[in-house]
Amino acid sequence: MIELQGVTRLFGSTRAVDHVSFMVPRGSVFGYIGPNGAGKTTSMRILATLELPTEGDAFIEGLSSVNDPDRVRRRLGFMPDAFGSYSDTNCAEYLDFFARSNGLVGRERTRRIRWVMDFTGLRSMAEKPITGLSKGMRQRLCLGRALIHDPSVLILDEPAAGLDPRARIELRQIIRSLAADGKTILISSHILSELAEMCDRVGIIEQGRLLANDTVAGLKGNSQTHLDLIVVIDGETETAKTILSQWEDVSDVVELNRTLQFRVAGDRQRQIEILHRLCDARVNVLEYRVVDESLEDLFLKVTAGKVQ
Amino acid sequence: MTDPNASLRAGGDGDLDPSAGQPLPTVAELSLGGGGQAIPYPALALDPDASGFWGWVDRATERLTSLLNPILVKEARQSLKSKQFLITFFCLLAASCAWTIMGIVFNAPDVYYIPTGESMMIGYFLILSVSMFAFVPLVAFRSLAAELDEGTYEMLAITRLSAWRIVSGKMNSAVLQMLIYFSAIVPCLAFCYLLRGIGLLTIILVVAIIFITAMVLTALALVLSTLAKGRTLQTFLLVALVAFIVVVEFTCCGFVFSMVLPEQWSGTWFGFLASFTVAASFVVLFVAAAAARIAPVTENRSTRLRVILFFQQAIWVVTIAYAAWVTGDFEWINEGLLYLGIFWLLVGMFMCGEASELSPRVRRGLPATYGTRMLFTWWMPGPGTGFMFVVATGVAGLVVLAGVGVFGIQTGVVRSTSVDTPPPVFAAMMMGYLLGYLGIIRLLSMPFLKRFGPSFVAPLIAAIVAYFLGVIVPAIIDVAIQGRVSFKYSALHASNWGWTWDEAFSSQGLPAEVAMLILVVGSGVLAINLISLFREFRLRKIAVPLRVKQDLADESENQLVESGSGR
Repeated sequence: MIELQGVTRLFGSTRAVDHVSFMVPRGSVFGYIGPNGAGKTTSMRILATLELPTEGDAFIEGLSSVNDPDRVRRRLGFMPDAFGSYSDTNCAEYLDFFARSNGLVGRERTRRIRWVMDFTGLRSMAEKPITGLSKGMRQRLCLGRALIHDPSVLILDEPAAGLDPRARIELRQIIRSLAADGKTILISSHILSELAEMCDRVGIIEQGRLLANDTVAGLKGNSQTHLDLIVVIDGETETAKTILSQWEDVSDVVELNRTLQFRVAGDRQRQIEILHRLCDARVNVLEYRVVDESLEDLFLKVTAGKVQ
Repeated sequence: MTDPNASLRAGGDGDLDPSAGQPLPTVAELSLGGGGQAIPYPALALDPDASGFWGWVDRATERLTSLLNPILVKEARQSLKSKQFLITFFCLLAASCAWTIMGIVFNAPDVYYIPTGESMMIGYFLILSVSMFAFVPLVAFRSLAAELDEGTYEMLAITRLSAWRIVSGKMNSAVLQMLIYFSAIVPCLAFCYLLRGIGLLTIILVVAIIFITAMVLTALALVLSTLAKGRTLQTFLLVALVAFIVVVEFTCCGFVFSMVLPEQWSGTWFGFLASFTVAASFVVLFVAAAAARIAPVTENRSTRLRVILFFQQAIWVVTIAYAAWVTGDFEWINEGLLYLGIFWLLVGMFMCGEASELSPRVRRGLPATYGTRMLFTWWMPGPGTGFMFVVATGVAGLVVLAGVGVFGIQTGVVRSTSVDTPPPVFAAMMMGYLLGYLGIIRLLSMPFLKRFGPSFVAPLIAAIVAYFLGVIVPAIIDVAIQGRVSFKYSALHASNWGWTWDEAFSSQGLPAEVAMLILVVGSGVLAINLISLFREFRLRKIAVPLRVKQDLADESENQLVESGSGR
């Protein structure tokens, strides 16, 4: 479990994090979204015991990262956004070093190194020097390092950065599987579509303040004041346009290749009524659907003008 | 622990992964990019499973390396593979061979019947000292600076390794490198001994001097590397370190060539032992300082350093008392007082730049009762407590050393041979400077520290300004009153520390009234400082949170269970 309780972090007069509170239950994935400098990394560093909050407290598995940092570190795997490498060190030596640093000895250490190598697909790279690895491979190694001591909580700062599309899909599956294995995961990413598909909940932070904390579906529900609809018509579209123009709450009608896109300032009931009317007027509707809001849209909507 | 063989179904229902629409693969089944199952594991991922004697050796070695500091293991692997190490080692071997051949050729045929060990030792000393003084500290500097620059330190900080273990691991690996370099030159030293003209104890002493000096330089390099934030400062510090190494190399050469190799030193083995102990205490101090610099903000960065400083003072007092007893000259006491005062002024300057915020974890460890607070608050982190620690410990050290001098004079063991400033007068002067200058440094730097946060830069600048003004102000007053700078020392020049010290070591000695004046002014500055110190002294211990208590109880219970099952 991860918990932030009213965490504030000041750097001089700048509020990097401003009374942020949220909780991530065990075995779930929490996506942390925000523009650069919003306070994501600072919050993550506070959880990882690398920063002290000016106010509030952060908890990992119920242990305070302020009061009890040693025990917090044993339960924590942290993958920072920047990967620092060692010269004259290969992947196997790197993992062995971090296994030793996390107190793993004997068979347990070798067993964990084998598991991480298989898990991150680095077995074939075991003897390769780290400095020669591609960005994607380094990300894998960094993830492997965070997992080497089998932590119950993972904090991943931009883990998908630099991964190819295939590796991203696999990473998504891996994160879901780790969560299903009981690990609690806090993940930040700029690739919001990735987060939408792997996170149970999403937190949106801007200028240090947490603006939203909900499921992706919940965020859509809360922020939705209108529907964007698409109608694909077999035949001419004039009748449909005429019908749509009769509705006061329909606006922004755009036509493209027998496809009409328009905005309805109403709820689902209004969406149904429009379809009924079109069908009654014998318009040949081939397709009728709501344009799904992406996480990017939600992010822009939530952050727009909320923090001044 | 996740069992890699366990078949853990990820939730079992496909709706967890909307993109797939199918049950998730197990953690064990998944891999990023295929996994390369047909490729064998590297040796580091395999358990030693050979049978017989070599299998036993394998397993024993594995157990042994598990006990070692992981940083030492990593650094040793890195160093032994690095080009820099290979080149240095090869150059050292080549230079040793070349010097041996040259020595034999130039000394032939005398080498068969004239002792030439001493002259050969000069070359071996130079070869070994250059490798150890130049390369090992610079490698240590770069190693820790790179750790901090490239963000790898933060990854280490969240493992079980403490800052102390990280820095001591770097130090250990430097010592390992020194041993490897030394091993290359051991046959040459044996050859040197066989050539006669140099004793075995002298060879051991020379090697010990090289080792301890290289260790002090390496530890200093580690501290400097933690100060270097940004490339510019890093380069500046690196240049300063190289310059210092050059000075140390020449000083060491001078000492070894003029005193040690001709066996003309007047000291005793105890004297050397005391000197090595003082040097070793600086190694520990520098390593602890480097660890304190990089320790996470949640840690207590100060108490360990203060304990080391306290013991350093004790070692210093004993060493100086011994030297005064052996030589019968109380100039040793006065020199001891001088360096002790300078030492505390320097340390105090750094302590004034400490962070005043204490993490809850540190506050849990604060002394709780009135009595313990009286005695131990000064050992806790903070600029104010640091100031009081330096003042109290420094004054105590000066008083004890002056007391030793007085005792020596009264019992006739110690008598003056060259200077005429009695140790109590010298101690009063040094106390006054310590209280006065350190107090002024603190007062000058406080507004900047409040504005820009904890830093050593503000106290350093304040110190430079204070020491400069201390020298220049009496000269300005001289010019204002007399129209020229006076060359006759008087009470007016009491703030000029350089002149005062010179006067104290001169044959006429420092007038007692000047020393008293310095002490009175210093006490006044201390009184002003005490007013602003009250806030820090009100620091209260906080209770251990219930969650921490529960976890500690759980942990000790687990340990009991484990030790029970182990039996």
